[in-house]
Amino acid sequence: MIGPRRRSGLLGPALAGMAILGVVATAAAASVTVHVGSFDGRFYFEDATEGDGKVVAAVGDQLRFVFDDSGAAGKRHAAEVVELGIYSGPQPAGATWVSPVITTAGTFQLVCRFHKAAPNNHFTTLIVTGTSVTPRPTPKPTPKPTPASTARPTPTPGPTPVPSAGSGGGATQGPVATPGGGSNGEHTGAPSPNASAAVQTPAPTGPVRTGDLESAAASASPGPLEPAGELPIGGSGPGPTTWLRSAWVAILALVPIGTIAVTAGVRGSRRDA
Amino acid sequence: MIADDFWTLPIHPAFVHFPVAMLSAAWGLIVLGYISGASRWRGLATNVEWIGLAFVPVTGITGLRDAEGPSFLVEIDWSQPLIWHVLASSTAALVFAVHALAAHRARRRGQLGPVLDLGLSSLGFWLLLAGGLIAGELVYG
Repeated sequence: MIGPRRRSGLLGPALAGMAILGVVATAAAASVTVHVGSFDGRFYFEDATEGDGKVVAAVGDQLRFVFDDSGAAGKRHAAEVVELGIYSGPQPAGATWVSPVITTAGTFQLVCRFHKAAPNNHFTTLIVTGTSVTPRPTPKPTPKPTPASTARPTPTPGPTPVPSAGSGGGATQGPVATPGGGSNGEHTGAPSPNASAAVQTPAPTGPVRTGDLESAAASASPGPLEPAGELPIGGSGPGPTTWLRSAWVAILALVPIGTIAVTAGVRGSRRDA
Repeated sequence: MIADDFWTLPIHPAFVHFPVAMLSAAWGLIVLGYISGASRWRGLATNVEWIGLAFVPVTGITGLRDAEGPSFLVEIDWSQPLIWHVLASSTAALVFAVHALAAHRARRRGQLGPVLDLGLSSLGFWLLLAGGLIAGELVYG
């Protein structure tokens, strides 16, 4: 016979096990496959229901982009939904890229960053059904008090992160950042210059619990998600501009180029003198 | 049998490297001329620079063709790398052209000053490099 003390000793691990099982069972998200490409001058984003002019997903889903070709007009395809922080980066033919978990419901514009303008018009409507999940704001670090006197400053307690019911599951389901590729998400499939750290994760299935989505969004999103709005087609959106790496390298290149030019000029002037 | 997408093959990459190589070599020869003091490098740099400039229009036309026309110049999207690639590369060609013309005019009266000579050619070479770097990210990501 098990006494009260013994029963209470078993209760903790049992509850913890049930919690873990519950998290694992509910943390998974569904994936919606979207084919990206161009054929005979027509640029498309197509989900399972081809030709309806839209892509439909639900809150908690991940978009699994399959790039059918290597692009057009000398530029690769790159799927982007600015409001949801989704950007695949340019991808080669055959590549697959999985977006972060969608946490915002609404109607958005899914575009190819490089072909969205006329005459290609490579964009479609993305409809996300369900109820939006507001990601938990990132706790701001408390600024260090400036010692104005010898008296010890009283430390201000920062915001205490609320433990999430699905933190364990969210950690395994959260998107993995791909260096040099998209802003976040998983890159699988064909090799590309950005695929050095590609991670293959099986497409999860099953229902999603709100807490898991919150933790996934909080850990994956680069910042608070912006509300759904109108995407400025042909205008400058707030999406990540990975190509700015080249601008930085160019600025750095000024140093050796300038040094070489000045050295040559000085040597030439000395010789002439 | 010609494939349906045969005529969509990008041809700008096949032409762009020639003027890039010529203009970069011109800058290198100008620098070499100042460092070594040998005038033959200066003469060679002039020839190489003019050859590179002669191929710039071909590069520009093939670039416009691959971009499916100048629509990106009409509705400018400053967040896109293409417009910055075009701006950097076109300005590089313009700077090299100004340098070549200035050097040509100065030769009649003596020699182009080192500040103008090295300054303009170095600026052109740097813009050429920037345009190439942006093009690299544009194509390869």
